[in-house]
Amino acid sequence: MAAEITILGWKAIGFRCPDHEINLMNKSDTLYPVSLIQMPNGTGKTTTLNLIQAALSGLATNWSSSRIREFEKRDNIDRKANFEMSLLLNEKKFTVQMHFDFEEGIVRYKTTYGTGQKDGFLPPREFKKFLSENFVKFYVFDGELAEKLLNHNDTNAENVIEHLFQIDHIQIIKRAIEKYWEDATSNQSATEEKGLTQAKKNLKDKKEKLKRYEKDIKILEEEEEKNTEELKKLKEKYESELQRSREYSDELRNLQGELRNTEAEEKSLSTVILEKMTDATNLSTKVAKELHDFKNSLDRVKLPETAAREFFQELAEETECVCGREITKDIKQEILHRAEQYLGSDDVSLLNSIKTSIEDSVGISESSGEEELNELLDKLQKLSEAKHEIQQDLDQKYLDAENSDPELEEIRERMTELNTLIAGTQEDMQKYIDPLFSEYNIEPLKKEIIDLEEKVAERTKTVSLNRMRTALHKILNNAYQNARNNISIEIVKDANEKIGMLMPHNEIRIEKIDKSIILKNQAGGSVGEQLSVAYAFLSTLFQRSDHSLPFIMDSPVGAIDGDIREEIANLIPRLAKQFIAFTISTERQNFLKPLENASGGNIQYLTLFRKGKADYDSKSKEVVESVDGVLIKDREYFNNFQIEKE
Amino acid sequence: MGFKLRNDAKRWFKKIRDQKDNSFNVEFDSYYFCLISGLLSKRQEDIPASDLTEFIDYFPDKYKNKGKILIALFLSKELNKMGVSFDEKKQVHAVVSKLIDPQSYNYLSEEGLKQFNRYANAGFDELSDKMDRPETIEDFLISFDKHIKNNNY
Repeated sequence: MAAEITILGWKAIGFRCPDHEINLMNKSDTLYPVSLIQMPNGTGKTTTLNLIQAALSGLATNWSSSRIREFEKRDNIDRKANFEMSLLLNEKKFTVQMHFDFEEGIVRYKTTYGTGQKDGFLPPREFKKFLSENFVKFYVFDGELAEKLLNHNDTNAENVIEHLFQIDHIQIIKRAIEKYWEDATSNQSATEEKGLTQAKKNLKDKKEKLKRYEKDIKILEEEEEKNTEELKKLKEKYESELQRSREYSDELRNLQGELRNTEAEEKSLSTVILEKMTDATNLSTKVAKELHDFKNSLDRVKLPETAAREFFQELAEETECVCGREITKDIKQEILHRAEQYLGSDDVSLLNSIKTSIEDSVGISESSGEEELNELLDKLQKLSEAKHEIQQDLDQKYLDAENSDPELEEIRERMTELNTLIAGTQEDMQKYIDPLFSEYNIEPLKKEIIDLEEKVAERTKTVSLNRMRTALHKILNNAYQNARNNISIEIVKDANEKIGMLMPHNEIRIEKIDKSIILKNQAGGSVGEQLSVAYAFLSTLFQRSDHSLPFIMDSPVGAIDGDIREEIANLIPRLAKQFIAFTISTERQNFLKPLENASGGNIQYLTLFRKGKADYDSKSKEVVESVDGVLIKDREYFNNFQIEKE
Repeated sequence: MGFKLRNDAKRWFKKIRDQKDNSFNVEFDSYYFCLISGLLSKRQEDIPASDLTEFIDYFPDKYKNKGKILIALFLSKELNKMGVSFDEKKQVHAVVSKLIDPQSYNYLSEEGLKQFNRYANAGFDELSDKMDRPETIEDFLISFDKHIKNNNY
């Protein structure tokens, strides 16, 4: 966002310069685009300019005590001074106060921005770069700046270009990318690429393993299906062959029917027996007796007690016992202590429920459970034996039939073979699907693959992110260099054109900007030449930037010749939205008139001097007197004021 | 924490578990017989966690109403193991309080369940040492009964 700084005015009390208050707004509260403050040499122009610089940058916090005391007014009894400056920062008021204590040799800042005053120099974040020591030098221009612009130890023009043309935003973007990268990879190690390759290899191996297993399973399933299909057909064929022989078919049918019935009975009985066995009291009389004894023992010793722990805990809270005695603190502690010996009410309830379960299961006879179970098991045994006999008869019948029909025997042999193969296939398949066979089990393998795929994706993302980050850095670095170079080239070109206009007969030109301004074929120039180069450079800089900064200058044309003064006067209104110059009387010539023309006459004329140094009409409403100074706001007075030096 | 069955026990019972249309069809069936063997033989054993599979923490299905009988048998064995007589009411309280938890689904405290599982672990050794791997449920039930009688449990 473009920044706009406007100075509304300032007030200086207790300094070497006369006490004064400057307002840069006119009666309709609009800004004077040009304000000229005429002060004779020695009045304190430099002091005022230094105070303005300090107010705009917080510079005074770094001043030594001796430096601070240089600002002290002679005969300043209370040894204190105040400088207050008001600004608009993007239309919002910002006030800086500097409280000088010459006795202590310190300066205290106070800042007001929005609500409340705060201690310290605290400009809003977005203006910090413009309200800094390095930057302020470029728009609060003292006579030395022109020389300093040519000295890389004293200035950093490149930084100013970066800030003005927002090339520094590229660095901000780079920092944002770094932060994103750090946040995204805070848990990652530096060997990410290697880790990714390894993870990808693991994933590939596991996928190949799964593929092999699935292929094996498919083969096994196909084999089982094939054999089962063949077995089914053979069974049908076997049965139909048997049916053809009436000798065997009826008998076989009967035996098969018997077998089926026996098996069904067996199944039904085993269900009943299993159900019975789930009650441990039925397993043996000994077990039933043990459980019964357990229950009886609890009853004998009256466990669980009828009173539960909660009863005693509640009793302890009472003031009086059930027997009527007082429950003192000691008695309460004792009750609570002994209450721990009792079971809780839930425990009591459970134990009683267990006793009931035992009673219900055992009933009146400890042996009845076992006896009933024995009966059932005997039946089961007999059924199993019967089934075995029927199976044997059946097998014999099959054998007899096969003996009389070789084809049947062949079929039977093949069926047996197939049954064995099917059983073998099913057993082989178990290892892939039974979780007990962890090495071959495909379900955990599938899960491992999913986990690995997620890890690889995450690492790939990190590696990709790093590649993108590196590429972005490269692009941004190139953009930064190109922007700096190209902008510098453009500024140099424009500035040189302006120098040509200001000094048409002078060969002085800027070669490049490399921290400071580097002149072609020469290290420096005369004061006038330096000033012209500075004007050309600064006007190019500020005109092309989106930001709007005031321009404050000491002796704008003091060392410059007549013709060039006129050119500079034409430049000034285009230099900045707000131009403030400290002038002396000798600068008016060849400067004031062209300036008035160039700025449409919208100029504030101020003359400031110490009391007693010049005549004035004290009754005039354009005169403001302070303890030791006189400020006159009048064009005619300005034009006629002749004192160049105190 | 729930009931834990040994992985080798699962394999041992697999054939009868897989048998069609039979009532030996929940994991707890396998666990029950291991547990009973352990309780009746008074054997307990610790098994590495990797060799165990935790399943449910409640008495399922046909065991729903039999759970308290199992708890009773367990308490009886534990009191006996610790040499606590019923006349020592304080000690009986302490053992009971330590091993049961009326609020849990299986009425056992954490310690109680841990000891329960230790009986089941050892019970499987007892079964596999003394019985052949069962081929059918019918064979198993008959064999198990013989096992109880042979050892006079």
